[in-house]
Amino acid sequence: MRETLRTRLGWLHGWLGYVAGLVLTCIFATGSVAVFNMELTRWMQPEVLRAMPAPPTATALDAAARMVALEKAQGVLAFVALPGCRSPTLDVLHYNGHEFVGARLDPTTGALIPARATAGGGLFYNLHHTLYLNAQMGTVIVSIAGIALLVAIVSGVVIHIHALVPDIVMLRLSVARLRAWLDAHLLAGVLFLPFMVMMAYTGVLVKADMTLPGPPFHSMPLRTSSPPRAPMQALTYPPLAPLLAQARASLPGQEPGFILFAPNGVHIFAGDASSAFLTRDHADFRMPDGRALPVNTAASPVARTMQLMRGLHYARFAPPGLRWLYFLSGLCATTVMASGLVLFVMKRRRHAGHRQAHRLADGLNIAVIVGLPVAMLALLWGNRLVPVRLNGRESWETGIFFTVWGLCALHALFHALRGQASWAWRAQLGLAGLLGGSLTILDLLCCPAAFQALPGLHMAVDGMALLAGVTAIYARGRLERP
Amino acid sequence: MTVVSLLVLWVIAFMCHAALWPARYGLPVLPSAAQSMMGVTRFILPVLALGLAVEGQGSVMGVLLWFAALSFGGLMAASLLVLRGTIMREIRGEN
Repeated sequence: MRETLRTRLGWLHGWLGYVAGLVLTCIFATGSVAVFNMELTRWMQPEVLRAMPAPPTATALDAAARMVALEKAQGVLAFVALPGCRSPTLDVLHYNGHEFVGARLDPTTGALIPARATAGGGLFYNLHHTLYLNAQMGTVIVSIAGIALLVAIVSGVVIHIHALVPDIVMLRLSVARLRAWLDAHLLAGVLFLPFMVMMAYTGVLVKADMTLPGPPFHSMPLRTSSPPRAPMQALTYPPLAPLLAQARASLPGQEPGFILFAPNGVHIFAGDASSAFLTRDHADFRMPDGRALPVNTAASPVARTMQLMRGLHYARFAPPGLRWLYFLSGLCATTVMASGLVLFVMKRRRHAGHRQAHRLADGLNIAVIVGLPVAMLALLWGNRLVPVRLNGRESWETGIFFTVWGLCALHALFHALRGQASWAWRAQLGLAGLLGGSLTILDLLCCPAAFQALPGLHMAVDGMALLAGVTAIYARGRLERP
Repeated sequence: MTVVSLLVLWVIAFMCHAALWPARYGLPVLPSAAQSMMGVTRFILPVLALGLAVEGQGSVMGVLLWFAALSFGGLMAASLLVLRGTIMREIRGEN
């Protein structure tokens, strides 16, 4: 009876894991990179040379408010993001249907920084949350994938329950290739189980209001659909500096993060980095006199729990060290899923290797496991090579990303369906090695001033690309061994 | 500093765990007294790590760091065991 259960769960784990794994590998890979979305945007805007944030001056805040009013007159709903540790500029942003884009101002002078338009780290963030689809549909697909992950985890634990504790640090690289892959899958799967459960559970929960019918748990103030294009009446706002000082006093222990402008008031929200609880507490001021309205920061236990769930998933409170742990854990979780995809195909090769469906699965694996990293690296290359003043530059970058990924997928499927998957693996791993390994040189050649001004940031991004390249070359070398 | 301490504690705990399963990990069999000590250490060190993490970093950050140290400590312990196995095989090969 127990064996029957294990067999059935094995079937469920394999098939559900494979189908959802294709999507989940993309979600986890992009989510891991999106942990550093703002840092990536800074890397992709080398014109912004400011290293440390400065408190915004009254002049800069008023310049930002003027810009918001101007955008509003053009039908764009903009808001002001205040400088913080991760982004030292004063930003006037709006949601373009996929990500937050806009102008960057110097927080001291209020002068516009002529930074290049870029898709930035927001592209990965958007891919992670909605797969770059329509917000509603994308979120539902990602949530279903998250639920599938939870089912795959539970079934995986039941299958492996006997050896779960004894084999917790078991890794045999010198045995048969299939066994070594299985050991790697189990090792990372068991050790990163808490992280994967946390991310899947909190991820499904924080988007439950978009997935399940019924009244929303909480409406995110910044998430709107594409901005309405109809011109609106231009408004003038009261001086923001005194309001900011009042908001700081009204939100004890929380640093203001962004300012929203409504027709009847100004709302100053606590920054997401304030604590592990993503509260979105806000101080409100009436228009046009700027009179403070009562602040309510009380939250019910359910709301408080949801704040913690959001905080844990988005990790915006995390200091750099914890942020790196999130990133590395995300990469290890991606490895669990990628190794699961490889195992699924390897296990069935002897009996079904000649079938087109098996070859298709092999091709899809290559497109996801190697094609996606190649496209990510191509995006970084595109950022440095696309002319700075090109119109619609961010769309070009996004286009490069998806075109390269699409070409990789076609290449992989073409070779896999002809029974030459190993050729596609080697070619794409070689390309990943080339793009990753030489990004540092390109960065140094294109943006020496930015490298000098922000050496830590550039070394981290270039170093990660180099590491990805070296890993790809190593994997390519291993593939060539018998 | 806390992260490093947590990692060290978890790696030791995992190595004690491996020592309690000598056949699986290809390790020498320990006398029963040493095995008991390993069992106690394997239990005590993670508890100590949890206390250290929560005390030093607060409850939310502490628990997150504790789990992260579990994951990466486990990877490090597995890598050390692989390294040991490789060295032992090479020594046997030389003999």
